[in-house]
Amino acid sequence: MFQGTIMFFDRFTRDSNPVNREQHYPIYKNYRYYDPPALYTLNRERVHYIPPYTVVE
Amino acid sequence: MLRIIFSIVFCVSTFAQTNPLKSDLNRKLFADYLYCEQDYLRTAEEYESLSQTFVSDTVLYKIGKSYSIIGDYSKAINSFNLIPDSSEMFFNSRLELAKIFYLSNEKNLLRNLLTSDNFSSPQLKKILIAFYLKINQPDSISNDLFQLSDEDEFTFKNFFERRKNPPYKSEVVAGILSTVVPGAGKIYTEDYGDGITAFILTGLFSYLAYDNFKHAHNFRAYLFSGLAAGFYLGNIYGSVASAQIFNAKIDFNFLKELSDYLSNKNYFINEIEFCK
Repeated sequence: MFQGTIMFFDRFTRDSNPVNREQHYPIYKNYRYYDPPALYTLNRERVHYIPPYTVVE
Repeated sequence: MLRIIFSIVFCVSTFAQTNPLKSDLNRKLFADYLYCEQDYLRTAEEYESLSQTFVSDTVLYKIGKSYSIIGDYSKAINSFNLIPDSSEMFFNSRLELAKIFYLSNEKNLLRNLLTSDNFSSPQLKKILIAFYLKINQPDSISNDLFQLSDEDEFTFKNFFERRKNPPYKSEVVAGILSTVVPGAGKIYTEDYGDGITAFILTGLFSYLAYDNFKHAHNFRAYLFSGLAAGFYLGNIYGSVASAQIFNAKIDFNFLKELSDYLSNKNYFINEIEFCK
């Protein structure tokens, strides 16, 4: 619960950033950014990097 | 007379059922054509349908190569292993096997290939070095293995140094920096926009909390304090996560460069030109 709360604030911060977002995230086919929460669980095994501009199925 | 008529009828009906287009020779020619057209699945099927007398080392090599290209590694390995060591195709078949073992992460088979039959070419050594770099075991590369004496030696030593000392960002440092100055950890991990945003949001809500406490608006003051604390902790947490993602990106880029290098070098296999 605590982790989920601070993950929310971190997510909110990143979503508030208006600059260079396209250089950070891969995208869905519908042009929305793809940034799964698994990347932010602090579990290295679950961090699977996908480079920006990659179109995710 | 009746016998003659029956014989003629029998011969005609038997001959009519024999399709000369499906003779072994024609099938081999067709398979050669398919191979040059890069229709590898059908190539392998046509070659495999040939009778034993038509199966040469070249055919075995082409079957293995076809299965290797379409990703059916077990069939490719079977085919390459059938090529005898007296064959001209033997050396290339070993390199093709090394490529398959590299791609399918078969560490022991790759190492056995290098040590078996006293067969250790520079090409196989390079594939083994690349494999140790791929699975992040640079310490397993012995100095003896590095004696390549060609331009690839420098490239592999460069890859080795990068694998041994990758330019990772410390998760602890990122967390501490963000604890001291909100957003600093993200700037350290080169997420500049996120770092500045974290600094602005934490600063803004902290100021609002301070200002409301100052003017005795306690409810709003506690509300903004809670939000400021959330953004502050979220920024520390996010900086650690950002360092992890940065390090994953370093690994990803390294493996991509290694993979591109091997692909450009065709896994050190000198392709045999079958389609002139």
